[in-house]
Amino acid sequence: MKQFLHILKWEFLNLVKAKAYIITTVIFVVIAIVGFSIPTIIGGIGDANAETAVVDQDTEKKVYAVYDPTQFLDNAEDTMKLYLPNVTFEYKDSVKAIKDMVEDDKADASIEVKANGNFTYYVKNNSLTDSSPYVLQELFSQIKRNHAFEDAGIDAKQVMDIYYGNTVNVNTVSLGVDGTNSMIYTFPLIMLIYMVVVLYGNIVATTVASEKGNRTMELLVTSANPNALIFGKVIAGVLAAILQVGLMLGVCVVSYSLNRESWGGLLDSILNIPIEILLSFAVFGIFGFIFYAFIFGAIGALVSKSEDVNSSATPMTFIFLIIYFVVYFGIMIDPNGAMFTIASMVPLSSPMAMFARMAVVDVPLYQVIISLVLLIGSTILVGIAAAKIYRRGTLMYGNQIKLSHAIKWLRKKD
Amino acid sequence: MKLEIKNIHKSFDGTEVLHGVSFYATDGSALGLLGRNGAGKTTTIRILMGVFHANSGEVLLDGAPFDPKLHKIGYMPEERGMYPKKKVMEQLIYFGELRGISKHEAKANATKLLDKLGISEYTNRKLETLSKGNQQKVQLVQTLINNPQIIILDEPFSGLDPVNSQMLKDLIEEEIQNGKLVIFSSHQMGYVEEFCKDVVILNKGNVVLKGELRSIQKEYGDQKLILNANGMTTQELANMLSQQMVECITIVEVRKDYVIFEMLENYDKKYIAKKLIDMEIDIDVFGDYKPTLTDIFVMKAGDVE
Repeated sequence: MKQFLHILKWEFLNLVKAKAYIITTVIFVVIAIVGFSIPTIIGGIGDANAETAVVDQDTEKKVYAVYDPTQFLDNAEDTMKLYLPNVTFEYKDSVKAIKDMVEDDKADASIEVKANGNFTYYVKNNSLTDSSPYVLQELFSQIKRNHAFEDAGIDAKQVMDIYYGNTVNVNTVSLGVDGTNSMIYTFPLIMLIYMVVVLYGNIVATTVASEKGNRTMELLVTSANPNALIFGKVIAGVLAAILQVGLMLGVCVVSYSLNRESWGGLLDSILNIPIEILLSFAVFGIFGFIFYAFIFGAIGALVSKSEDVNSSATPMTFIFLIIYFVVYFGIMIDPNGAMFTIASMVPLSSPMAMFARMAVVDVPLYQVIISLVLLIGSTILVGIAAAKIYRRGTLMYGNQIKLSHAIKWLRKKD
Repeated sequence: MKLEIKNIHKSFDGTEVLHGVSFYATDGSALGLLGRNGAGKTTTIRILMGVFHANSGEVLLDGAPFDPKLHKIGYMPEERGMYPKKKVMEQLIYFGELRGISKHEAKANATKLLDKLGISEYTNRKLETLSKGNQQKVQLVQTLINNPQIIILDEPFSGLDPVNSQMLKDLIEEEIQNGKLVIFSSHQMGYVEEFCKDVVILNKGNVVLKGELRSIQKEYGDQKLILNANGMTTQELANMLSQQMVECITIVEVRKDYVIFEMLENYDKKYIAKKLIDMEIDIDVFGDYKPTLTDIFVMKAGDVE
């Protein structure tokens, strides 16, 4: 145990004192602090309650050129003012005239009214965020309805008063899990686990392999227990990852909280993660990471030089990528389906899938417990297997050891 | 203290590499473990160190099963390697701690040994910036850092210049004087002859020779003589001897400098000398054969090239 602690300390300090680790952390922290402060610096992001934002919208005057040969818009000024209070309508007598106004920047957009109130909307540069056509469509439909009421001899104003004066409110209470909201934080968290496993998995594999490459292994295996060695390395990798990710997330949360006013609470929904989801994310994430770190550690023990780690780790990384997509699309398409339920139970995918499933559907507690027990059990088994492979693999130099060979070792006593 | 290896068998993937190896070493003296590449020296040492388990056989210390974890052992592997990018002192302390001594003790011992080997100026330098010889000295400091009772050195002299070799030799002598048990594996027979009271020669996983070096040398030189003559090559001399003295000698070996031959039973040196004079050979060298360790090694382990 004492040996394990010495190894853990040595490996952990090696990782966190590495230049790459420090530089990445510092760069991320700086970007996060600056990024979250930008709205404060430039004066805030739009918000329904923020007064400045409303005034901005109000002052933006627009001019629409209109060609209305059918006189559809006659006597509709009140309705038009109601829908588009900031727009001034300029009437022209040809399609060309209204198009020219748009092209010459004299009008923001132009409208050619056709039979039955159908219309063509001309704009210079169409953009995805321009909602004007929809507002106009709504406006023209209303005008058309008004004409219809008039033709039928009904007082349009009275109808509208009844129509808008009688609405009801709906209050949705989710008795299980509010899936719509939780998607917002589920995806970033799944991606976080994916990135941590791939990045740190490779780091763990490299630290194991490098000692074979420079033959320090000869001294290590005669000075310390191999189990203490591999467990020390893997746990050190896990701690370094938790420290880095924790620091990064912490800085994000703190800098967002400090600048929350300027953000207008835009990201509140991401931060409002229920405690049980956060807890299952942490527990499944950490055990999942240890599970994969052991696999990557064993991969490192199978190669002779750290240069070979990448090629040997690729199949594992690829499998993990597929699992990532299964979880990602599983939660998007059918979180209640059998596939996603299985994914949340199997140790290979449960680190990403279980907390995600808990976030969007109501998962029975017994399933969570079974999944966690399976994950912890497999982590222990993988740890023992990795230690065995490490023991045998550490002193084998030269050719890469075949996987089939390594599996044979697991069954043998060494 | 007597460290005994008893009838060790070891197989890797179905191929047996050690076929019943037995020998022992005692404190206050050095044992030379000799053998060609692949003879099984490193495997034997690793079994001794507990890195591998033997398929059968046992390692005993004073008659009781030997657990390397319970004893202070210093090991210098043939494949040298420490952390190239770490500072010398930093990693010496780490290895000291792994081998069960406190940080404080490790630091004190390392300082003393670095000073003794004349490399204290490199204490805070990264290992990779040191010359090969100095890196090897750091390895030796690592080996001795926990003041081990048992010291195992695998090819300690490879890569050292004569001055550094002398320094290392003095240090090892000192350890032997201090009553340490030293196992010394090498191809460099000269050093083994200087240090080791006892030798074990391994060949293809078998012990082909073991015992006290002096008596082995005496035994192997027993009844053997060397002869060189002026005016002819050693080959011509050997041919002549085997024709004219076939009743009293057999040729053992023809070397560049002399011929080695063995006297048959009932013949002695005096008789042979008389006979040689009768043959009117112009004798250049004549005397007892004193085999070097190299001779014995080649004889015992040099059968297949």
